[in-house]
Amino acid sequence: MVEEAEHLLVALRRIALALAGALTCVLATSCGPGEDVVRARDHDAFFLWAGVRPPPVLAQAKTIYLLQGEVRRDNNARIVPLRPAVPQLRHAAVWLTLRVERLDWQAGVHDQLLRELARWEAAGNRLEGLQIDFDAATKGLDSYGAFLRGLRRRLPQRYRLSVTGLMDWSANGDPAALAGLAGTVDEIVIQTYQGRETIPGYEAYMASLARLPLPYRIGLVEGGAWRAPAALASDPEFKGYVVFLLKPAATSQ
Amino acid sequence: MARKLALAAAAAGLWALSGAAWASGDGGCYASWKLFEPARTCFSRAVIAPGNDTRVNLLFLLRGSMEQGAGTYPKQGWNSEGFGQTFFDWNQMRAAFYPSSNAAPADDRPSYYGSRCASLTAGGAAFVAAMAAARRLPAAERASLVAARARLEKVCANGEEARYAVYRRNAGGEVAAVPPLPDWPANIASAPGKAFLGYLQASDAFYGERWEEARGAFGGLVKAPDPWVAETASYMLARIELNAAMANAFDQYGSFDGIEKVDQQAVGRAAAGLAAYLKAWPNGRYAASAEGLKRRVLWLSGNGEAMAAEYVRLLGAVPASGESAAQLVEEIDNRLLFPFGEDNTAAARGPLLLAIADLAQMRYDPPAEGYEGSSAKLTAAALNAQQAAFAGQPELYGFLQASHAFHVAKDYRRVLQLIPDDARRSAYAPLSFSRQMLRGMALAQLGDRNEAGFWLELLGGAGGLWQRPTAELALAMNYERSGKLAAVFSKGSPISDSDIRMILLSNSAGPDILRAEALDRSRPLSERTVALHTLLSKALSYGDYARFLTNAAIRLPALGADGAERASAAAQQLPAFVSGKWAEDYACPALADTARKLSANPQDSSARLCLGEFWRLNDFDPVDLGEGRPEKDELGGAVDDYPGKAMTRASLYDAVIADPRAPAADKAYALYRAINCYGPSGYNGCGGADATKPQRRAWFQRLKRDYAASPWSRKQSIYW
Repeated sequence: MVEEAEHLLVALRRIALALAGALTCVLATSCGPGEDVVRARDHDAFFLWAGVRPPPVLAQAKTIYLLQGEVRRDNNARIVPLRPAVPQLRHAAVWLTLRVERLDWQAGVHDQLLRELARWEAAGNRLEGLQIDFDAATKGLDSYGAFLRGLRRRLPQRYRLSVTGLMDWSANGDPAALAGLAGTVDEIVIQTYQGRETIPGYEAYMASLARLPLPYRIGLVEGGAWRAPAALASDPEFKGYVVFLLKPAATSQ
Repeated sequence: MARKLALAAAAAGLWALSGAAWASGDGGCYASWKLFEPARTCFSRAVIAPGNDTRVNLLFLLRGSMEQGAGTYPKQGWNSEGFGQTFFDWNQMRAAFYPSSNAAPADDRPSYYGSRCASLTAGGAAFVAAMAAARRLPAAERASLVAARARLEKVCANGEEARYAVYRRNAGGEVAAVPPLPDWPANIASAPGKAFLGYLQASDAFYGERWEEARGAFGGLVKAPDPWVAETASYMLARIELNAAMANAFDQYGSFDGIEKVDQQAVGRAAAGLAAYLKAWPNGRYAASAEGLKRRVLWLSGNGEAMAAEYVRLLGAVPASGESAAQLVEEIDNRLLFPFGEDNTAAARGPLLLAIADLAQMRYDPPAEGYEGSSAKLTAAALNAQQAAFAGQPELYGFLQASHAFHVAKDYRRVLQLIPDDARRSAYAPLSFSRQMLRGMALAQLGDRNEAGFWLELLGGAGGLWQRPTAELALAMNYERSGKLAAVFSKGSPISDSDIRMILLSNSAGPDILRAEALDRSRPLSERTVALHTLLSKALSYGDYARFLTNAAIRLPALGADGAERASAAAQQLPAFVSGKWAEDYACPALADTARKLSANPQDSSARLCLGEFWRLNDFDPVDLGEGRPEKDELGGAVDDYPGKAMTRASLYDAVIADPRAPAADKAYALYRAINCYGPSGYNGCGGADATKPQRRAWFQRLKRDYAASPWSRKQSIYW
């Protein structure tokens, strides 16, 4: 009974803290009670996409995921570079992020990718490794896993492999397919947003995070809404947040 | 033209400024199945509209009067995002209209794509050909020079390692020096031989990014006796200056730091160099590339006016049937209208670009809960003032006015005045199709009784990519909203699009349609699978147990890999009704027995708990079934013809907890399960409205107090 009471107390304290920490929602599209607006200044890991001017908050970054290029649906022979020069970061660890629309790569794509990783490393960056951003449908996790295993085999061991993931994976992913990912990738960054808004109803998916059998971060969008599930902080696989930075007035295209 | 643009990109080592800037904040992109929305969406429609990607709108306008039957739908793989054949993004549009673009040109080096080394292979072939044409070049020197060119390969292959002259690690992770480059040949004595060697050495400096050295070396070759060397040197001088201009224009993130960081003196030299080259070799081998590089000069010098004028000229010259049209559209979007993702639509000139800018300015975010929204920037007065700019383009201008009336002013009668009925054509260009769609959408907003008839007529000519499914969506939404769902599924129905039919089956259809569709061998198995899965799921959750028992005997073949993505969840789950997991730690019979008990007595507490167990153990909870119903204004969101009200697992537990006749063991298990609806995250996993915290505490206390001896009470030590 003592143990039980302690559990209860811990649970209640977490709830109280969550409520006390709530900010007024001014930006988020769907801030419910107890939700915070995601502010870049409260975080130290960021996604910097192409075409977004690096904002000053990046100076406080410990980890930056930098979009380097993309493999487009219309061409599986090449990476289209989206970052004009090699970064030269000293204050933060960096991941080379590759956005991918198809997985049937020709060999040249691997060559181009390995060359780019080497360039980033040679420029003196603290390169953590490669992140693949591919919106694998939950049903396709198996095929995606096979692709990632092939990629892992080609990557020099010193590079870590990260993937972005959809909230749906943890809820509906076949446990065997998820376990297959666990043996291949070093982390998943679960995205809670679409475009520049938090996906409404993200809370429902959070219930299933415990199903993820590998280290994960949670991707938030700047200005979006976020309320951490009570159990998150105590999940040993949870490694923190990554905030997707937006351009100042995102009206374009 | 294709060649000109492609070369311009390769020659200058351009990086793409991709739609990824927006396209993907990422985390997926799911279409909402309706005909329009005023905000920018991550997907586009066949109707030119404010919400579309601006590149999609511009390419549609550019393709103007082209034969619209051309092109094929991009293949929807397992990674499709529910776009069906109604929605698409920019890259899918390119792939559909210009499918040949996947074939890399023979002279391209895919692994160097986008870097200045991309021209290495093509340059090599030209070098060999030029030496072959040089009669006075001794054969031995020629062989040495061909071999010596391999050095350039090394410079490119070593890439930044050479540039930063640091280190690279070998496979074992140790630091190893960059291997030395091969020496230049020593046997070159003839005048042409020296010129070609000079070219190689100058190129070595260029690929190695030593601009000063490259400038001097190529400068010394402009008057070389060999015509190929002289011409190439003249052109390369301009390329060097373009590279030099940007050498210090990048920040520590590798991002372009802005025009103000560009070396304008170098830009000036590049402009002069291009002009000099084109004057000396107006039809030279690099003339097309040099013309393209002139646009880069304009961009780097921040001369927006001149750039806009040049783009207007190119829009009038580019053949819309070639991929160069898509390249031009992308370049205009990135360089002129939305540089660095920032809106610069004020730079738009000429009717096409002005139309794109106007549409973008009609966007707004409608207010949502906790969010004020925004309003459209373009006023009717501002649009009226543009009349002169659209002289000779009445169709386009009328469409813009009607778009403003529809999306911004919401004056639907004005839309009908601006766009006359023209729904009986045999084919539609993108603009004329968009006009008629807008008219039909206005009819729908006005509740016009001829709306369905209008769509039926329009279907006759909607043959272009994405056009027919779009018009079918309009008609299906009309049928759904006017109580005519049966028309969608009747024999000879005009609604043939499988995605549309499956959305209506999942959300709107009643039991008779669902059964008929499940049994209809003339329809694709994907649709029949969705129909049967929905019928059995709803029969259970709506308490229609007798119907469940009647239909549970229907068997369909398994859906193979060629099944529709939209049917995959249903296909995976369908076997559960026959051979699912019935029980875990509460004893339950097979599902059919549970249904028989409930059919006899819907209040049977044990059978209720067993129905809950079936849902829980076979992933029928809302969190497992993914998103809920479509929004009211989306396809499938207007009606649910299945009679009754759906139960949730939570409602089953509530009923057992409240049932005075339920045995103690059942009550204890219902309490235990109700508490665990919220574990371990604190979020509701059982559907229905969230129980309050005091309610959850009350369950927990009751389980502990009234059923202390039950195994469920002993197992439960916390609540959430």
